[in-house]
Amino acid sequence: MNIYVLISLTGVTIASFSQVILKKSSGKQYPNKIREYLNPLVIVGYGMMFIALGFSLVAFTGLEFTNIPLLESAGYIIIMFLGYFFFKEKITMRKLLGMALIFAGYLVYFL
Amino acid sequence: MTLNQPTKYKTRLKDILILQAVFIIFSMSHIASKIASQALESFDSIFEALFSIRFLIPLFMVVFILGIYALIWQQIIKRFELSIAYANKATTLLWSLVWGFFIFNEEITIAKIIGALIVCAGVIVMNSEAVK
Repeated sequence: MNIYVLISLTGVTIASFSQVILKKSSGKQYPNKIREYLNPLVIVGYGMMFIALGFSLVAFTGLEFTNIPLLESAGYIIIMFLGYFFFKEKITMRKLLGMALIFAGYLVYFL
Repeated sequence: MTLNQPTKYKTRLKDILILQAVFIIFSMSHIASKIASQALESFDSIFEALFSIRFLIPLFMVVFILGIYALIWQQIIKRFELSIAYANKATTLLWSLVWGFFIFNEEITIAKIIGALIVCAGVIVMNSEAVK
């Protein structure tokens, strides 16, 4: 496997987990707007996203501009499962159909 | 950490439009990333790049755009299931196509247009789960 593909997918996985942390934070009550953004969950979440950005930047040097979204699309699947495990979000037929269309579209786009 | 009950969200069309606007902003970070990467490639070492405004300005733009995205994102994910909110990001494919064509003179084909439209249809189906 192309090393840049691997770098990109590692970044996507880190970014997916960061979304779970951000969602956890958004579900809490905060005394003010500043605390809503400056709290440990948000700082860790965006810290992880910043690390993921580093992976993306390196991946960009070895991949075509349009290939980046294709690799990042793996995040939709990862997040659907993380949503199920962390927030009990149902994986419905409609979601699977939507996801199938999204991937079909990606394949038409890139193949 | 796991919640006992799944949260029910009342999503309106306005929320979906805000969500889409967030991802148009997000897709612009790809433009800045690409410009930063192109600048990075023209240097012998990353240390040399770190002292060049040709690399630092687009890098700053990436951080700035993602900052705005982050501020709005933290508000909008309150109103959606994470899996649905995140799936909306797929429309960045369409925006990457538009930016790639107009800014980087990348090739645009019928297959790419059809692919992007199928992706958008998938996002609409995902969103229909939120507003049903």
